[in-house]
Amino acid sequence: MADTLLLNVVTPVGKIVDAQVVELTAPGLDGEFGILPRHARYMTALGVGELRYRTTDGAEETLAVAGGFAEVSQDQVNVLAQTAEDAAMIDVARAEAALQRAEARLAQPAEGVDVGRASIAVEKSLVRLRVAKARGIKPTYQPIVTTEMPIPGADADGTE
Amino acid sequence: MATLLELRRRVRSVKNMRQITRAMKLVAGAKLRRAQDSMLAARPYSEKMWDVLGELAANSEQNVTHPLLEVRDVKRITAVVITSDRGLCGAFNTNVIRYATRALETWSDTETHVVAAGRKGWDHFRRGSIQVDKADDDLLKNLSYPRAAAVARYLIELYENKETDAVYLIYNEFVSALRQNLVVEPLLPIRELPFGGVEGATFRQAARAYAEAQVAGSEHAGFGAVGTTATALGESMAEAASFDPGTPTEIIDYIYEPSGQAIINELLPRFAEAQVFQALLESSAAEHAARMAAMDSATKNAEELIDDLTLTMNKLRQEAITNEILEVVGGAAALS
Repeated sequence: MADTLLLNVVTPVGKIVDAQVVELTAPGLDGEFGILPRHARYMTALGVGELRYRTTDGAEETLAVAGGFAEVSQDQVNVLAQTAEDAAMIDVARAEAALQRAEARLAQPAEGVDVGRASIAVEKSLVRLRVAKARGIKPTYQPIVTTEMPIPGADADGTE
Repeated sequence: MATLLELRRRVRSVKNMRQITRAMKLVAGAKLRRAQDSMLAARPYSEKMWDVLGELAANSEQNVTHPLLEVRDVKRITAVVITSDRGLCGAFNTNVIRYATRALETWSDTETHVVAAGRKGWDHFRRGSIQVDKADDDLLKNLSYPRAAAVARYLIELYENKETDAVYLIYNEFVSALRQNLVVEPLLPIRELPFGGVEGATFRQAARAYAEAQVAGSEHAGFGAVGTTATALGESMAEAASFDPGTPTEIIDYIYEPSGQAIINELLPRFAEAQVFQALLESSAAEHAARMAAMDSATKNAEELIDDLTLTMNKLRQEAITNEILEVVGGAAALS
């Protein structure tokens, strides 16, 4: 019981993950954080980024998440995200289009353009594309060490 | 008496109608399945939201404050009435509008304001004397979380700007494909959860039951004082959980990041959004269920009518043939 965590990822459109994991890292509002079994009770707001976790059989998965909360209690992690998608759910073409739109808006901030929102949109699209791409080149049989996947823009490796 | 030709025409027209109602029933069935799926998919999110909110309320050391938790004297009530855009769904819209009207009458001491989600509700309420706002035209047609969230944010803004002091959702709750349940559900202010181990879901049910009882029965005449409602509710809930406020319950320390207050600030609007989304999903599933039932009975009625008409038609034809034979026989008899 104590060696694994029950990870639940839910969004308004459905339950995305319900699995036993041995570790996970998630994008907190104040930077990335990592959760291992027997973590203290913890509650945080989530930013935009990648949620990575390793299941009990060693497979590593990555989700693109944006907004919401994570709650850690008694070897259970509840992630309530505004959006959460795994590589298979991501529409690459759509993410690219969204990225272009948002960048165009940032490049020429017209009247009434919410710069904050546009840059969040850029970030969301980048995360989506990264998650989708990482999946494409990922070897499925090798155990992957989490720290070998540097995240541009986020320097914290987020251990608690 | 109708002629044979007229009857035949009517049978044909009723058959066409049956075909249409049958097709509509099938379409509603397919849509119902989809609506039900997305409703079920959204449920874990709202349930977890209740849990988190409950734990946050129960475990925070300092009293959290937020504009959405602030219970004020109720001078103005906003009722969000969720109907459908289209008709041909039996008593679905009539029921929810009647229910809403009753609720508004209960609140008649207070200034009321209606937000109509769905064209049918808008068509009805804009004729009355109450101030009505209309939700996005596309809201129900392409129901999605961002759209529902926009409605919630609008309501939150009203509340925060003190343009309203209480917001209720009135809608058809989906029970089963054959049953819808009318509910009135308090949305804002978000009632502070009673401390202690009261399950979020239980609280929600109690809050809803209380609001419903007030609409149903007139014994709660003083509806204006929603502030006392919350207190009474809190008391009854505390009782239900046999909670003694004198003894501190187990308080588990959470680490909050950035802070408990920051999380509350973020959580409460999301919470309202999720509640609005859930209500819209429920209503949409209920609508398709109602339409399916209505079209099913319409198809059955058409079949009955066709049987009746065919019988009359056959009788008439038989009669005509008999007459003809009689004429022939009579003519032959006269000749011999």
